[in-house]
Amino acid sequence: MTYTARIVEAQRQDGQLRVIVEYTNGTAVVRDSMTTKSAQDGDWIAREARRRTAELDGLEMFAAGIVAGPIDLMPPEPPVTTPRERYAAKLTEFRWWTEALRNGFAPVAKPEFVAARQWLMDNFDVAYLDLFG
Amino acid sequence: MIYLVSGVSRSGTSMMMRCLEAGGLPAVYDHHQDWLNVQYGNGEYLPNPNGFYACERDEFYRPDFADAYAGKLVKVPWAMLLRLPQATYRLAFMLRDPAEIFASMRRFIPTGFGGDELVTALYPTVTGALQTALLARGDMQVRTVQYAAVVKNPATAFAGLGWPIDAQAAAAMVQPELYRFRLEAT
Repeated sequence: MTYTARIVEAQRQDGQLRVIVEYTNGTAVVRDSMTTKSAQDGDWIAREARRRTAELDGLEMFAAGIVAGPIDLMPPEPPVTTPRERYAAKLTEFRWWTEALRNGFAPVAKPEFVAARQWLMDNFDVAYLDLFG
Repeated sequence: MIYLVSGVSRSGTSMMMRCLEAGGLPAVYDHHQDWLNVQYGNGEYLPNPNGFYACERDEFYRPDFADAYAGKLVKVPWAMLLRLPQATYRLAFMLRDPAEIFASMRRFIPTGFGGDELVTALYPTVTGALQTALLARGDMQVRTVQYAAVVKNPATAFAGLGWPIDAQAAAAMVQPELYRFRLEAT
């Protein structure tokens, strides 16, 4: 359920206006305050409420996707567009695995290593030779 | 005609250079890699006790490469082969069991051999594709030479090249004791 917003209170003190806004998605309740020393345009509170509800909705969606357990420390593959770039990216990954194997961090039969090597063999092109340099 | 020796590092290219020079081909090389014997060698082990027979990489970018090396023998890094200018070449491409190459690399530079080490993991694929591409150049006669076969029967190996050399003189330079990291008797 997405967040909604409502004004709870507007306080004037020491020449400042403090507006307290409450956000809720039916389960969670968040209270924020907005402060100003001068007049604002008529959309000031609604604009902030729209920004904050979008922020809270995004946070809920992100949090829902987090699963407790081991964290995969492999860097995500960078976005690539050409076959050559894909090959270079896979070669970088393979180099990483080779280093891990040499240093005893991974067994030689590690599936990711075997898969990367097979992919590099299957997709090799002589035009990629310089990538090994 | 330019005579070339190439192959992945630790596959017998320096041995081949030494032998072919003894067989009569005028070899071109410098000593810029000699420091490797000092850096990585010790009393019991030298990576290449007879030297590396390599040229500076810049040599292969020379615009007059074809003229400068006509009639000469030179060792070329495998990654440079396809970039050589059009000329008439004969190439001896050294092959060795990739597991032996890897073992030799590990002994030589334990922290890793860079791109050549990666090639070792993909050895048949890469060397096969490279040979096909070299033949497609149309100006290069490629002979693959098994390192183990040279050590086992050097006179036959050098005679089989069909190059203008004294095969017996070349064969005499082979030192079987330097064939280290062999995985099985040959």
